[in-house]
Amino acid sequence: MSKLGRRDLIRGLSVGAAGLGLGLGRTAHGQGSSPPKRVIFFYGGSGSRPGLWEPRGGELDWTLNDNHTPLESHRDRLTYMQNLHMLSAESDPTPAANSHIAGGTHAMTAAHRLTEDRAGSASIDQVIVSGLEASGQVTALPSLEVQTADWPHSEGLPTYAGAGEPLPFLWDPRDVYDRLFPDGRPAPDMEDPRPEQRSRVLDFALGRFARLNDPRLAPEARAKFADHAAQLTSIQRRLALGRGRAFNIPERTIVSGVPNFNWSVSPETKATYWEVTADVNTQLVVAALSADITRVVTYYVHDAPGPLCPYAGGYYRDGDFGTRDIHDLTHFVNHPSAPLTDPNAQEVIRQQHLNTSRVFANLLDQLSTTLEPDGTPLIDHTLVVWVSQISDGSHNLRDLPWLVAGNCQGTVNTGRWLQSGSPRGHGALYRSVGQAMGLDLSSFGADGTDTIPGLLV
Amino acid sequence: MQMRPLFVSGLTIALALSGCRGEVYDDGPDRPGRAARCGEGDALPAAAPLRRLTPREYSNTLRDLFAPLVLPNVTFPETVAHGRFDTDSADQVVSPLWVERSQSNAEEVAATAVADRGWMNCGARDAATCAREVLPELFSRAYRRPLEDAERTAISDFYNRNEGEFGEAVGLQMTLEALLISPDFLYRPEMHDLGTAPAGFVALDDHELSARLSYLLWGTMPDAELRRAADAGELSVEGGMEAQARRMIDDPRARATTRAFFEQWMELDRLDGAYSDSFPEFDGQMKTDLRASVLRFAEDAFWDGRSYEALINGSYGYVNDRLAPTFGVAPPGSEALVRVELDPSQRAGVLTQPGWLASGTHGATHSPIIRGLFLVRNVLCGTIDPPPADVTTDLPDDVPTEIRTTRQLIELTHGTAECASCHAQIDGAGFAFENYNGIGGYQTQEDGADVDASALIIASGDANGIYPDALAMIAAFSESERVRECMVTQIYRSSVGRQDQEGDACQVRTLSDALAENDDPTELLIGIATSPSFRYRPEVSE
Repeated sequence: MSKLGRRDLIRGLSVGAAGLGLGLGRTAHGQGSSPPKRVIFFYGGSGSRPGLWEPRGGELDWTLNDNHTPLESHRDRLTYMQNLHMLSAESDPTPAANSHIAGGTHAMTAAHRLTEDRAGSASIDQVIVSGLEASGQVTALPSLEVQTADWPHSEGLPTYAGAGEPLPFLWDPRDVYDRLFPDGRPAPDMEDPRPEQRSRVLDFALGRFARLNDPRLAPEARAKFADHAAQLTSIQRRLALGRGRAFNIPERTIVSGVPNFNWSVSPETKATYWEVTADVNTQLVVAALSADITRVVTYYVHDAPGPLCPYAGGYYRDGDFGTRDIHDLTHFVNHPSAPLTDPNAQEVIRQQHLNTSRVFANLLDQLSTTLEPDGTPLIDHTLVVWVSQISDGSHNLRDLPWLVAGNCQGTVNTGRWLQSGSPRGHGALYRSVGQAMGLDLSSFGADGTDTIPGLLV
Repeated sequence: MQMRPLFVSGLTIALALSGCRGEVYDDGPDRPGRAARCGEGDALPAAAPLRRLTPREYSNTLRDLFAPLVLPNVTFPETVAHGRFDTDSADQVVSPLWVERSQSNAEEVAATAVADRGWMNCGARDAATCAREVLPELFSRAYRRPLEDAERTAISDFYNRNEGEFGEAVGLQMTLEALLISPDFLYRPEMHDLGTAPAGFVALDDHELSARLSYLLWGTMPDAELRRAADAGELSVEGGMEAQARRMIDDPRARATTRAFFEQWMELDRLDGAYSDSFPEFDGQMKTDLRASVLRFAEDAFWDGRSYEALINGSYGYVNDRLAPTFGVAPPGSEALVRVELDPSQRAGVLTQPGWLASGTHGATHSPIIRGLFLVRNVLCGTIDPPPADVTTDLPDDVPTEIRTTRQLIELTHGTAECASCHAQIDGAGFAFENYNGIGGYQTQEDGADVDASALIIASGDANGIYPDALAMIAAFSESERVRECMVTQIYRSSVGRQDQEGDACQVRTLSDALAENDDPTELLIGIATSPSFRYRPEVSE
């Protein structure tokens, strides 16, 4: 951290709230005004396989490719982009700790790394949060970070509050539910007897932080205290926001049946856990947006474990096809020049990608069937951006298999296959996403002075 | 088998073409540029970042603050990556989720402490009177320093106001919550100056020194004796820190702290996610036993044997009936782990303990790559560049049909110049452990074929060499200055809460040389606690 607090730095990224129907103020908080815009970054780890995700056809008359067939019912809500690359990663002077981290540190930041395993700037979700909160805190949680499994963090996390500051993810559906709906109520709850008491406790602590803004402390220490105090202030403002919209709040029973995860369970049980967690966490993500507890979500959907990938009437087992595990198999199958051409092996990986597509489709299903207080579907007010750590099984960072879904209150063209002739950095996509959300981003990341032609209305 | 020439050829290519950064120190014991022993005025801290309590330190401190009360387990979200220590200030991110957890944890702990007030020792005093007397002392212990008058007043006012409005129990609860989310408790700010430091540096005061010492050795707040010594100004005078440090390393809490170090240094959290279809016995209970076994071995070498040599080269282990087959010994007739002597032709030191060997296992069998990466990074303090983004994973055209062992498969796939540029260094180290299967059992064959455990260590100073197997390599490691200095570096990083920097070189060298002479790793902790870098911090500059 520099001497400035984190939020000061993010605001320095040429962010401004353009006020394009954002509903930034309290009036949008379930009081009859038009619903606010939301954004979900759907972060799928290992991308897809070139040739199996790109739509077939022209800009408007296209059909879905093999890996995305579960999205058929949402075809007209989707827009694909050709020639999208992580150009910022190619110009990064700081080597990455490994080739997954090379993509993971850039995927949502588009900025040069701070260290070999830490991104060098705030991620797009946090930049959007900063823009949404330019006029003050509007939701109980500025953002929500959820993943589908407690996978090890050695490959890095995609969201960053600032340079070198990855944000943790929740993965156990019980923890996600309890954060969103403490005691089964949307947070915060004015019926809670403790808001005043909590506020006083926070005041006491904030007083302590104020006393530690002391020139005898290093600027970095004071900046960290400033960031911490800002988070406490955020909690305090949540108390003042009042009760979220008591709207579509799921019963806690949806998480009570989730089995406790344990790495030592059988592969089949692990696969079941993945399926259940992905399903319940998807419901909770939608519930959080519906109840306006947050407007910015990053949903990290890990690749399904091996047994979820059936082939020829069986399951993939470690060691099949002469490979050591599913990760190994991916490397040998999932890129155009991949050496393993056994159709059964390729089918295993195709099924893995289909599983991720099914989670994405389920998310769109739920956004479509969940209605706002004004009767319109939630998806009409939401932009879903499917991104990934890498492009394919060779750790490629070019030709990103990314897409967007939802028209975000009519600001995004949908049903398109944008086949741009010129390569663009993914910062350009984020600049467009920021604009769709009503933020005037003059640039984003190391290569993001461009936008995606044809994406915005 | 044709793979060996391919691999050796790959190594040659690697040395010629390597884009890898395999070197962080210069080569050789007499290498030019190696930092000399610290002289007068040297070894001052390059940085002293703000430290936040780690989850372990947080729990320990709560335990000691409210003893003998049994508190609920509380957690914080983690963002620490493998190969780093949770004490590293750079990884202590202030995320909204972390701050929320600190608040919810405070509420949970405070509610428990109000419900059961045995820790307050109120005796015949009424509750409010007791709280008014206990709270200032509690805050002082939690802040790890005496309170200023204004702070006493603020605490008293806060309690009295809320006790008056909401009742005694709520008033106490709110005051405890306020304590537990205060920066003075969650962090260890250092801002005092005894005025005795060299130019450009600041001398910590006695209470700041007491906190540093207590968290270094015990991972918790100072005890009554350390607070007394700090109050008396004994820590800032010659011999004061050493006297307290020697008292403290005889306490079991010091063992728990080094256990946390070894857990992170060996990256044992990988055990949670380790799995193998080849070993159905590799279940949750076995993982628990394996973790406990290797940690008990390290504790034994470090604290009971007080021997670095035993840590690197000791041929013994901690075994129960469940682990006995893996260790290749007769069941001891015990569910509890008991020390047994191991076959010295199969086992030598921490790197041949099954708990570590099994930690990177995933897929069908063991992972020489994860083992090799660990060796290069955590034992030899080397650095590996990532593979290029457009690396191909094509198999060579002439795939031999007799591929049987894990090594053969990896040599086949990493034999190209492109892969070998880095994997020569990684695999060359990891192959040393081919005599150990996915759960750390000793093997001479894999899938019916003889295993080849020959290893090549490059770019690692006096540890460089071609070794016939892990035992020969470890024998060389036990004499290696590079390996010893790396171990000191790892403990140093964990202790000072940051990555080592250029200015730390002579301090690390001095500590490493001392370890070479006395072989006692506990003296390493004393050395850190009494070093100039421990009692000074850099002067603040805007």
